[in-house]
Amino acid sequence: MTRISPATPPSTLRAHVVQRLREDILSGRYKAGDRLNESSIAREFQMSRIPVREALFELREIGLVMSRERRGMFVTSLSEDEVRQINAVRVILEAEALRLARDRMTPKIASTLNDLVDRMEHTSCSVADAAALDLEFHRAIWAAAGNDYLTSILDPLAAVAFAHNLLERVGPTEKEWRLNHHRALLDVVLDPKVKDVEGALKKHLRASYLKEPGDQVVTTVSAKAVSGRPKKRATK
Amino acid sequence: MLDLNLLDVSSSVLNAYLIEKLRDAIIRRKLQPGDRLNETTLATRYNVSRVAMRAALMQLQLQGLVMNYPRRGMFVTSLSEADVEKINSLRVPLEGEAIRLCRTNLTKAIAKHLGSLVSQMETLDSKSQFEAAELDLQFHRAVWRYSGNTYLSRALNSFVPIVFAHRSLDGINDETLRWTLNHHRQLLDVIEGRSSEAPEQAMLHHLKIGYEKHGRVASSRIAIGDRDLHAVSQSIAV
Repeated sequence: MTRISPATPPSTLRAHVVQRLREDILSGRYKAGDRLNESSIAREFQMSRIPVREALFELREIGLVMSRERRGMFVTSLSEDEVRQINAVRVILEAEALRLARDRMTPKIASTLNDLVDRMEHTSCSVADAAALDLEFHRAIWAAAGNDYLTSILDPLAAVAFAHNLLERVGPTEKEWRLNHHRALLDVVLDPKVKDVEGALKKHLRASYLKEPGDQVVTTVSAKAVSGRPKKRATK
Repeated sequence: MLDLNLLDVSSSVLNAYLIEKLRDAIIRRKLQPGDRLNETTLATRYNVSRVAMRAALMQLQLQGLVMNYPRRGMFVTSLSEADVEKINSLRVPLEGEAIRLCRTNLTKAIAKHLGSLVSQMETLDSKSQFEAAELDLQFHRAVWRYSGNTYLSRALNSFVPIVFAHRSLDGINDETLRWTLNHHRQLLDVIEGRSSEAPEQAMLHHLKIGYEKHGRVASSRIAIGDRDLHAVSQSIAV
């Protein structure tokens, strides 16, 4: 291991740790759910705990690391139930974002979104870069919505969801990050005649979560939830 | 000034004392909406450690009196009308979902708890807007928690409390205050299934947002018209 000179400014130290840990997580050296112990990482990198802690916070911001109350920092790992909870919030907020974006659509925004979809359809980048491109497309829609609160709620949720999805694909047997279902979502953004925005988003999320074309979608509606669900009523 | 560090006080006593002091300063406008709250300066002024000051500021953030802007620091809550509209427009679909889930998860204990909060609001004779806002927020928080979706509850907690604080800092007239406090019974009726009003509709009404106004800041649809009435959480299968 290369020893970092103590003269290196703190920000660079932190950036170095971020990069190293990121590689270790994406290569599968640290697996989803592994605890990231500040002191042992500091020992390994031969530095004080402060830049390590800052690095862990930065990794948390991009979703690769999450803190569990009173238990410390872990490589992001979500249970099926957590994924479902996050997706429910995403569907609501992304639907709102999509409708708002429609109202404020300009040729410039449309062309930005279109370029992103083009790139997604013609790229052969790494899984991590594909995930980043995917998130960039979603963020572009939120930005077009013009409600900064919407973005600040969606950002951390999506970061964790994307990281979780990414970690399920990386490691020794890298699986594909599918990007080809974004054209359909863009069509919904550009076509105000499509009313069932929530439905379109659910379909989009399902497509992203299928690991392989043949995989079954996890069915999550339990019998209890179905019977306990309020009947659909006509709107007044 | 009392030197708290020299006193043998537990940190929770110090924490409560600091929160009270800062709250008081904000209510009395010694600290104005929009003022930057510098941890170091405040720690010096109140003669406490920075750690103690940070803990107090974080508590106040949970109460909505203080806002944290990443990389810029802490500020006394100040919201423009446009901010309030943006926040409320997001409360409609998110709290609508929470209400729907709460209705699904409803137990006798939940109904009892929510019912007692509503009664407390209806009989509150204090004119204190802070007390009223606190009860009000307590009711909404309980509904979010009972939704059973931690992420939904966390999302709502991250941006809604500031409007409650803003409202009490800004001051509303007694009539509006009374209306707001009394209107929670309607939300409870939706949760307990006595009312068939759609949750989003109930939220629009609760926030006193007319469709027209809502359409300006929220997506232009009439909120309920084209929305699947099943809880999104229950119909999503990914």
